[in-house]
Amino acid sequence: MSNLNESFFSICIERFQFLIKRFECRRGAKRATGGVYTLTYQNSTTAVQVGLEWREQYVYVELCRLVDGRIKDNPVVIGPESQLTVFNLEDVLEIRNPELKLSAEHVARRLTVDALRKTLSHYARALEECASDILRGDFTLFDKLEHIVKTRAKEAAKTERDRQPYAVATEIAGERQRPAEVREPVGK
Amino acid sequence: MRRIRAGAKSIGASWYQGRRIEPWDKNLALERNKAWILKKIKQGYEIVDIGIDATRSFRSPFYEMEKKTLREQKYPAIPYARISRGKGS
Repeated sequence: MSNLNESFFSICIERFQFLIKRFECRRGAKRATGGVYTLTYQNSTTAVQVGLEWREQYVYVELCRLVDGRIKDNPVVIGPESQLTVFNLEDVLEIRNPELKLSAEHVARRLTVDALRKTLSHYARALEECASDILRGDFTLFDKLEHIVKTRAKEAAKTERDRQPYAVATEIAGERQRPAEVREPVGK
Repeated sequence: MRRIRAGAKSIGASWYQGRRIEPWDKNLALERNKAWILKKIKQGYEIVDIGIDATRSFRSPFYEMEKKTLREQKYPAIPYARISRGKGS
């Protein structure tokens, strides 16, 4: 494991300690799967997932409303009727204190240990300052968060439809072996 | 990435899991991702489109590159929803 990944876990443990002290969370195991490093904190109502995606140098914090005591991932494709239980802290900040949001330029930078420390420290402070109700099991804000996410999904789908008469291409999940028969292009 | 993994597994697809680059080099990472897609296109694989992660407020540069590559190649991508329908996803 690289220095950055080791630092990710140690900085998380240091900076998100308040979740244990103030919000009765317990800390889960360190996870490293497919270039994604995560640490999860959980109490009886809420989970916080802090993550680092190595490929994109992307650091994130997610807030989860537990369902039957467990994290229930959002559907892969989000539609108008989807029930969402996981939201990004950035969207909480968009509603509660937009000045605390990180800029796109900040997110696109190569991470150093120092930059990682600053980002995680910033998110820890923002989480404590702006999401204490969620951490105590009050999910009133989730309706607004759901609106933001569904609007984003809807706009992205519309953009794709407008842009491409030939194929609807967004984020690539992967590939499957093409079947023997020839397929018609999407949207043709 | 967790979402991509879950989506791909649910339809029996594989997904790009680039090797680590030390020190991290964004351009090299993008190049490798692009090379992988071009190889799959050349091999005639069916590309599945999982859609954006709408919980993220920042779009991924890798995602942009993947879309651009498909457009340049005029290669169709099948929407994930079409394949996963009836599989409970």
